[in-house]
Amino acid sequence: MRLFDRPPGLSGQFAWLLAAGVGLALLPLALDPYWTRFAVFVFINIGLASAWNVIGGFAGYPSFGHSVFFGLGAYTGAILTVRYGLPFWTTLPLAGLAAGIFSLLFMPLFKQRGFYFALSTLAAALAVEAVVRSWTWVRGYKTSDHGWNLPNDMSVIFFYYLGLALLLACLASILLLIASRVGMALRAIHRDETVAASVGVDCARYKTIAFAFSAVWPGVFGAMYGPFLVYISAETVFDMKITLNMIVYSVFGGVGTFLGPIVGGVLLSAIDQIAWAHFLDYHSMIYGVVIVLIITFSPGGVLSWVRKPSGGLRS
Amino acid sequence: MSTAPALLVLSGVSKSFGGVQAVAALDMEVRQGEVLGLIGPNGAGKTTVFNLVSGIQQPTSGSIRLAGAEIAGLRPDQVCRRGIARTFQTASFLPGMSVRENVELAAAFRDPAKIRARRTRDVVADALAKTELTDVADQPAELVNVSQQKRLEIARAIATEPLLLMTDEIVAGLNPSETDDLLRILVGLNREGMTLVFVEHDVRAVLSVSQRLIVLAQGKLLAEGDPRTVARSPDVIRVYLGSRYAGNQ
Repeated sequence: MRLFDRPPGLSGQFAWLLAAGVGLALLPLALDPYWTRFAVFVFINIGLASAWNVIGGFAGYPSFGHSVFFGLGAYTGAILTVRYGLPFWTTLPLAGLAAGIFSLLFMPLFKQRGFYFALSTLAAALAVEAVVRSWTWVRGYKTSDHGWNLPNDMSVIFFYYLGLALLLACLASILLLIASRVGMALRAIHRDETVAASVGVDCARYKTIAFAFSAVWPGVFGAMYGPFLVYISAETVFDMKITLNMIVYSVFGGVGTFLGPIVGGVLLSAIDQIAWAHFLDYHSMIYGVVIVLIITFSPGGVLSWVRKPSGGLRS
Repeated sequence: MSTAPALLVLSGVSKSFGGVQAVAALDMEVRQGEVLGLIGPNGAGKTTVFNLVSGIQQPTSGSIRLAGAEIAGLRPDQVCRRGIARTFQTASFLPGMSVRENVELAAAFRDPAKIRARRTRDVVADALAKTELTDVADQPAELVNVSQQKRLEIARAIATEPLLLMTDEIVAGLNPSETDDLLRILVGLNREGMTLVFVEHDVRAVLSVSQRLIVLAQGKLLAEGDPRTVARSPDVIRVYLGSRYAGNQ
């Protein structure tokens, strides 16, 4: 029997997640600050890709505007911290909430599918970024500011454990979501929306739930990202590359599968680091070539090497 | 012929696509517990009527009432929960899912009152048994044969526990033996009380199961009544075969 032919049940998946969390919790003992900091970026990227995968992978609506929710979370966190003096811990859920509520403005775009949906989300994201860049109250503390300086009073180790905890919470929530009626509805919508609707699936409702869910976690990670970087601007947190990374990690690992964004995130981060450390001049080219090769010759992503194509209502 | 009360009533239903009038002021009804055959040449508007009733398309004007309640303007999922299930012209199983999972999906999203009244697992088992798919229930839907895929469409539809089942060219592509098997299943469902609307090009199949026949032509009701009488009507023969053949009757 091939590996992963029989995916474990929900309790088994939680057990694997817990075991991975315990293992990763011990990792800082063996890591220097550089690699600890690198791991934080990996956690954030996997969390973002996994959240994107809910709407882009499971539901089959590839959003090209998801960096908006990350940026919105980062800016919400910064504004709440700097302008209103709220404690860091309270900014995380509030940023997630803000991103989730803001995502509801994207609902009219769900009248479109595929290429048109992707382009519409991209255009919406660019519009939001333009507003953030020009709205002086939002873009910085002083009128002349083009970003936010945040308190630098937390260690890298703190962010490591925070990032790990948020990632585990994000992944656990995704496991629960895809095992629920929502997950069942999303997979049916992905395969044939007309058929799904004809058997009673309220497609608009489940797409809204999926999109809001996939926006909340980028909002939370965005609120963590600001204090981690200490300074954020529209260029850093609304960057289109953030969305592309979410998509590339998911597709590289296996889009529409739970493990895909995790595998894609780990492997691509490692490839990126190795290429950067040893072939600095060619690092982007190597990274790009690897992605093109995998997508060309293994469209199901790396996971398709070890498991059958995802199937079933609860896979 | 059935004198049962009307379950579905279409009154003055029209649908146009730009300048094309697909359905024109159509009045028709489906009676409780009957098997109604709906036939017509290509472009007559049969599938459009199905799409209007099932909520996939919205009528330009007119009223569609199910058991007395207006359903025109409702979404397909709302129409389904009100009690109308349908199959599609082309096999429309959900790939990557087993036969059972296709049926489970329908059972899981049926009307909440029905979910409270009967366990989903029982509904799925019953739908699979009635469509003779129990033996292949765990096979991927795309790997079972065409006849089984057609029955899967029926299984999925009846798993929503509908009042009315509408099948759209369900026997297309089946050989005579497979057609007979499928018609036997449909007749069995009707004997248990399910109302059926049966759109078909295969006139033999329509005449063998329908208790009443409606013929559409250019989006209008051309003839209605006893299937064999209607099938011999010169008007019906004219739209199918041309006026030269109609004159020979």
